[in-house]
Amino acid sequence: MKDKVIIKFDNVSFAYKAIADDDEMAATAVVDGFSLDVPEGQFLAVLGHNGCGKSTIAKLMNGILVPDSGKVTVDGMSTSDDEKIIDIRRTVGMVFQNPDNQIVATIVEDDVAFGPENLGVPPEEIRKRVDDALEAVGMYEFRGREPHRLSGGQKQRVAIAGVIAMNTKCVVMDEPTAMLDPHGRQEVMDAIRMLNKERGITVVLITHYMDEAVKADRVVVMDKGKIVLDGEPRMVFKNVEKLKALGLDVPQATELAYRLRKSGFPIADDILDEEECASAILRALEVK
Amino acid sequence: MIKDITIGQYFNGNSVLHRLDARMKIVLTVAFIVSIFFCKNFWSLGLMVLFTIQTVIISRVPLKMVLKSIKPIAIIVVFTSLLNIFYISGGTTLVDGRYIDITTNGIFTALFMATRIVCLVVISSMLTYTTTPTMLTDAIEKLLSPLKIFKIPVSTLAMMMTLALRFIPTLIDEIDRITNAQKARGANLDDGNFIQRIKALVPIIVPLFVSSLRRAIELADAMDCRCYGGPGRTRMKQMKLRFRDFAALAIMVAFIAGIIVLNYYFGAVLIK
Amino acid sequence: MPILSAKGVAHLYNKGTPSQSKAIYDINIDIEEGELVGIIGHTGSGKSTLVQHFNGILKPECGQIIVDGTDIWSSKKATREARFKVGLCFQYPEYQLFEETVYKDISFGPKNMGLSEEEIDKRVQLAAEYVGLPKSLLDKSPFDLSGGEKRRAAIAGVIAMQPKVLILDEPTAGLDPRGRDKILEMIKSYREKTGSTVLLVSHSMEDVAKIATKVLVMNNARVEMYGTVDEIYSRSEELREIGLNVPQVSKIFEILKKSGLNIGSAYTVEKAAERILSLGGASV
Repeated sequence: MKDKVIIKFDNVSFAYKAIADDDEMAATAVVDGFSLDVPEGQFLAVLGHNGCGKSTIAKLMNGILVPDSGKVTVDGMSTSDDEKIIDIRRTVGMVFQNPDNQIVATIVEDDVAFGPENLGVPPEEIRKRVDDALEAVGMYEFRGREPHRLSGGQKQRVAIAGVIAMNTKCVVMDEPTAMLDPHGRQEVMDAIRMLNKERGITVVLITHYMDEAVKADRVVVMDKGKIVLDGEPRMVFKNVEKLKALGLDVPQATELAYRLRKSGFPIADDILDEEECASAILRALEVK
Repeated sequence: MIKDITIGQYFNGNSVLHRLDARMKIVLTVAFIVSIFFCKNFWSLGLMVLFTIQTVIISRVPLKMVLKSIKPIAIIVVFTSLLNIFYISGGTTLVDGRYIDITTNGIFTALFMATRIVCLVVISSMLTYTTTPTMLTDAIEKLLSPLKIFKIPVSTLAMMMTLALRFIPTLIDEIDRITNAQKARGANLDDGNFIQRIKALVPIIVPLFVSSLRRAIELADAMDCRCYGGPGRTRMKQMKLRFRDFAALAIMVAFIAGIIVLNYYFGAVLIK
Repeated sequence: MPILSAKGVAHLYNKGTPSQSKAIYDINIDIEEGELVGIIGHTGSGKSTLVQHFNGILKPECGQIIVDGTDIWSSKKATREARFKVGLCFQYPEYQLFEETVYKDISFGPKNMGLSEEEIDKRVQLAAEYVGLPKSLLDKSPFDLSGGEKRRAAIAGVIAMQPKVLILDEPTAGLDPRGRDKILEMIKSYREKTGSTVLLVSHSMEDVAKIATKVLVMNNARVEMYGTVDEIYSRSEELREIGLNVPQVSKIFEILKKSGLNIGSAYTVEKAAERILSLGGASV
């Protein structure tokens, strides 16, 4: 069953409540009437500028936040159901933006073991899972190291290994590369692709880097707590003007093609990478 | 770089001492410290010194590092020795000064105290040199686990200790960053009187506090996501007492027995 | 006379320990007044260490740092003055905010310079204007601002010292595209309005291409290249060898060139479109 939905948002609204100066509850709607189905095995990228509600969506996905109205279901379990919370979290794992603030142990392998330990997995089984997870993200040689001596990209890979070791079906990543250098971003993106393609784990990648979103199966663009675009990367990035208006980037190849088209240059509007763009330009010039 | 600091003073190695169970090491260290105060004559004191030296040799921790651990207490040792020499009376008087007498009892007491303190420090540092802070924390958790029946949250306390160990390097790094940033804005941290210096710390402490709070909140979410507080916590690394641990215990028992026998056989050196 | 020079500068990590290593060495560089220099290089190449020498936060093991004609380590006074002549804004500067109000925070630097109340006020207002912080935000707590606003307030705190050289270490790190563009735009206009020299440390070849006049490439603790944007970006093979990725449009142009198209080079989308369109027009 390929089309089984693993995470389902059904008309979800959520607002952070803060106590305002006049002691009244001030609330701003962050997510408003939001519906989304994430099928099992999909690599979904959620794009949007800061404050569009995408991090809130992430936190709603495994019950760190629960909706004010509407319903979030994970593998058939409602996140509002307190009794199911552990089962939800062992289904949907999470990787956060700041690599430092999610590593709990003083040794890499102990950190990866933390999740399975909390789930009461037998020691021999944990050992197996930890070794396997560290191998998968290419951090096995670093198993005895202290996390604070690792690079940002390596720390994020340890965090990903920590999720793999919990045997989750789905991983939600909240801007996992925002604090990394290009090299670290590449490392993490490779780990994400491995997770999705080789292990069949559903990946929800929250990001504002369009070059990462391009690699997803599906891109959802958010603004003001709502979905404004939803589809394959190629279809979504066609909307250059709309994306720019939302304060987002498009790949330079797509933008170049867009600019050329606007000036009457005969080139397609669904170009994503440099090879495509170059050959399209060459074709157009030959025709002329 | 500041990133390279090591918490505690673990010396990476693979000696028998390194491989002993941390719980056993703690228990043996405590037993040794208690036995130190049994030594009543030079024979038992000698045995204690021999034992200490032997332990250092087995640990394969470089002598330089061992000496480093004694350095901070050197002054205390010298000072208490002098006090003992000048103020303890009894035994044969060697120097009969106008204000102070130097007696054999004084010299012996000084010698005993100095040797005891040095051995105590060396053996305790052997524990920290051969055991990682993580292993120590785990061992303390295990050793204290009987306290759970008194509703003392031993596991939670151990988790807090682990997190503290984990975040100390991160916070030191952060202090370094914030300090540099404020220095770049002309903050003067090195001059001025006491009050001025305390005031100059505000631009560092406030950001540090704010960011630590943010870290704590994010960490709490991350721990929730990994099911902390979930169904029955197991541990990947099981602590198992092996043959070598019991052998070490046997050696310690033999050592204590030796001290008692030597004490009994040769009698006390101090004359009451 | 260059505004900023380094002569034979070297710095060691963990000096005197077995893990001693060169953080930077053999640094000889002259930066002319009014340039906007992009400093690129991968993590660990020494670019952050280098810029921390320019305002005297780090002391070089050997060599000289000369700011505006003065060796900054020649006297205690010169060292302190270097802090104000060269404003250094660290990575994630919002984490240095500490005062009750944004206004007070921005005035921290000028206050440390010992300026008069009026002068401080003038500078705070001006700095806030440069970074595009509305007056209404100045009386707010810095902790109530949004992420992008915090970043700009922190940068204003450095600008308010009115340094001759402004150094920004990864000012766009962690921001979304809109926040990033605002900061880049701000840096560009700040330089145009004040004529000051700006050094921009960045991981993004795209960002540097957009606003820099010159590029300094750090690699393995040394200055690998220093030249105009055109000079440096055209050496894409070498850049790739040291682990730096040229912008996507540059790659497109490389493919076009390989296919025999005589098209020159371009590093920004605007330039690229121009070039192609001119070509298209010519061949019609």
